Amino acid sequence: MTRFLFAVLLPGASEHLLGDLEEEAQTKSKFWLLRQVTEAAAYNSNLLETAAATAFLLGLPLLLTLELRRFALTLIPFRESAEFSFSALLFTALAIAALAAWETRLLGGRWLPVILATLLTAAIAALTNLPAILTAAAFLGGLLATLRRQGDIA
Amino acid sequence: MPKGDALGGFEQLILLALAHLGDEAYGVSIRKEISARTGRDVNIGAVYSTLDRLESKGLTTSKTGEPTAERGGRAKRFFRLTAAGSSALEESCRAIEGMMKGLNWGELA
Repeated sequence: MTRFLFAVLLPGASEHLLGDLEEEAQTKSKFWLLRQVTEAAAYNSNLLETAAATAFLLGLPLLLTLELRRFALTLIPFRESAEFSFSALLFTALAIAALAAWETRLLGGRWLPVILATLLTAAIAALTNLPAILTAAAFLGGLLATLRRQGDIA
Repeated sequence: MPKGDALGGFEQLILLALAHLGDEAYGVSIRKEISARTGRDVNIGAVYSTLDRLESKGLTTSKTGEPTAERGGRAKRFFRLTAAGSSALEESCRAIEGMMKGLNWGELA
């Protein structure tokens, strides 16, 4: 929980700040920690990046899940319904696995937030049918924020 | 001290905490010291952004300690007042003392 909170809300924060929060988390409530982390994100002036990175974590697998599923379904001949197909499911799972690996690499090897975000995204994709344009925008915003944080772009 | 370098209220609190804590001043202890003495629940992010600003002004220095298990293997960053920081703090506190002279708190409201 604490590591996920740090990864999502305080990406790129100094090890001293994270260490201090982890030390205090042992004696304080989860609500206190959440408030401290949220405020620290604001003081670090990376709230926008945080929002974009979160959208990236959620949006990228969501976009691909929706779009690749749609694409996969068009490849299946003689299909009666687009509700479900085993091959589409397999294709989507492989796409999500590849994306999760790529996101993990982008986030410097931090796999826990990627796995949690991927699971959450899979649940959202299974239950909703959001317009692809929203997830595409989230993906682009998140990608730019991630690259900027890494110093790849100004 | 030049006019633009006057200490802010929170900067003053941080420097006073460093003066009290000596060699044991790091993020958590500074935050706790201020909370204990002022009753304010200070945010650790505010503490660090102020410490970074004070260090860039040359009023504090810092060094990294050893990583510890209770901090998830992360190191502490210890802060100390520099001579310039000590002078700035003294000057700032004297200014406040001067402004407080002659005040009668009961008659202010």
